Amino acid sequence: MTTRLAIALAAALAASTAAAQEPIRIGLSTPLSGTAANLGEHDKWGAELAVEEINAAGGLLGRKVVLLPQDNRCNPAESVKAAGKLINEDKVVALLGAMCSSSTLATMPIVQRERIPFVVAISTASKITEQSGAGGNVWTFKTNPTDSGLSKALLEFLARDRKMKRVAVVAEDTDYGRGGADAMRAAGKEHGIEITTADFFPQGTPDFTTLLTKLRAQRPDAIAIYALGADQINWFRQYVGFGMRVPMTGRVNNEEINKQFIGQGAVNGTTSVFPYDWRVDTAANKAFAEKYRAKHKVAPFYQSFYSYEATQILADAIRRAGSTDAEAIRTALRATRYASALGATIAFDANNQAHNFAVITEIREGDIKVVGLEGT
Amino acid sequence: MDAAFLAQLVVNGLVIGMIYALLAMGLSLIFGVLEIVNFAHGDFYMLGAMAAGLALGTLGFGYWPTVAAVTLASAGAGLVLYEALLTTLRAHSFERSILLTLGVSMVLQNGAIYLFTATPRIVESEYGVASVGIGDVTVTLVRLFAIGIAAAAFVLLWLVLYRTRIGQAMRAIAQSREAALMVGIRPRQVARLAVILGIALAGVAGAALAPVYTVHPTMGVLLVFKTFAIIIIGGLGSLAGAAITAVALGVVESLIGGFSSVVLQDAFAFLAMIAVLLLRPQGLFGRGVRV
Repeated sequence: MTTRLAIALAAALAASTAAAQEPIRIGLSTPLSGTAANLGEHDKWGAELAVEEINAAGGLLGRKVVLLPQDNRCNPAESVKAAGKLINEDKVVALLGAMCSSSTLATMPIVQRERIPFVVAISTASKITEQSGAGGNVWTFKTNPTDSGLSKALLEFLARDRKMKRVAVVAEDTDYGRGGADAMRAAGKEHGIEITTADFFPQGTPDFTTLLTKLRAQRPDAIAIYALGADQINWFRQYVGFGMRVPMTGRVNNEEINKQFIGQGAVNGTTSVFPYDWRVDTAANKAFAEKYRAKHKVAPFYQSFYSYEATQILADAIRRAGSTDAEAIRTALRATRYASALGATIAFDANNQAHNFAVITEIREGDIKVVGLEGT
Repeated sequence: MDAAFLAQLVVNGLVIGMIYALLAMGLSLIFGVLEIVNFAHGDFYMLGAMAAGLALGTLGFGYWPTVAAVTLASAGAGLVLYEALLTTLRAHSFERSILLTLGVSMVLQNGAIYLFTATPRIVESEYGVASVGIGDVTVTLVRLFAIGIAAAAFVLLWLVLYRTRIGQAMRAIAQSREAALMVGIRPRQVARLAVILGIALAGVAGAALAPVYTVHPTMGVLLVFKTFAIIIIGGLGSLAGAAITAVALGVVESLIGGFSSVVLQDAFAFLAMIAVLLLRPQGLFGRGVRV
């Protein structure tokens, strides 16, 4: 009888120690296949690096942390499935993701219903912020700047440092492009820059010469472009071939401009606003970029950096909450004061939106230079 | 209005118009001789561009050898298309021909996605983005070459149609199939040549444009529908009508984009098509509706 009791006690004890050592599960919903898979990979690598560092420093609340990435294919329907699986089957304590704005918007109602903290770090649609925080989705927190914050930062720079008065917008005919153009118009009013025209083109438009001809005749101070991937590459090829002298600006992805054009000085004077650039010269960012490069042989992307910091911010909240209770984590997130490697302090406003710096870059003398950090 | 602005818009339009013409003439030729509407026509243009990307990129060919090789390969593809598939169609099986060419289109598009993924790619030739300027009008070399290649293709096609016996036979069949048969023209040979020429024209258009635009598996889709509009406006089966309409459309589109909105460009071709169908159903250059 006593032996049996002893065995039962021992078993109970073993189970409770196992529970104490059960890792803390964090879910990551991101595209790991499909056209955005490349960016999703950087998202995952950023979060993984943060988790590795947290575990090397002894974990959280005496427990190890595991990251559970789930493919959402940058597709709203798949994102709903991914969030459901992470929350109901994998029993994650909090969710990171979902990279594409439409995926994030599809995930938000689920975290609201399941009452799970959701830290968004990459999607830029202003709608996410408008729907979050007090009076809305209190479980969603967003660490990166929105479209309107980025446009505000860019136009402030162009008006103040470049004395620009007239900017033309060329954008793809999607939520991203239309949203970007709207944000430019609003920010233009605020900073005394006239948005001369906003031209929209369908994604995959082969020929930009008509637009280039029109804009050359219009002579704006700069052309702001909102185009992704191949459209931006195609635009720059035709822009250079056309011998256009008006400088480019907008949300230019510097990493996707033909290296030859940059080297030849064909795109000198191109300015851009982006949430992140690995060239930002702070000690913390240099150390991060160094670690990332050592591991993956490439410079960190915007996705890598923001995913890394979002994971750290979430871990910091769990540590301060002292438990993995969802309500406790949410309350701790609200009180976040996190020093971003970009130099700003991350704190969430009434809409659970943080206001990190935006990075302004310029292509100068055949090279990409960081020329300013602007508040969003 | 600035003369240079107008001149630049016209030049831009000419480049696009010439390419429309290459596609429209091929489509019109195949329709005239075989009475088949080739829904896969745009996909052969895409294949030409993909092949040019392969030759210029992976195989390291120069620009001109690439154009020559792709033209030959496309002619070969045309031969296979005719011998393997189109010969199975009997006379008066118009619906079957639509299903068949639509099927070919799907297979080609999805095959290209399977092999090369849907990611658009940039194809570079040794001419890069080098350009020439006359006054304020700027044109890249690869665009000028595209005009030259298209012009050369027109001349060659004209020579085949008007200076060879088989070309004469081709025109005869297009005019009246029954009468042509009666005078002893062998339709199979003529049809084979029409398909080879038509597909080669689409392929060379793709090769000429690969270094100008981005190359991706669905690049032919929008273009093929625009080409349908062109041959309907020009008059079904009328080669000269197709060519003139194509070049004119290119220029008009460019002017519309320049003076109003780029979004309206694509709409114009289809509005014009509807107007022509209402007012002159045989097309601007057609000789009346054939049964």
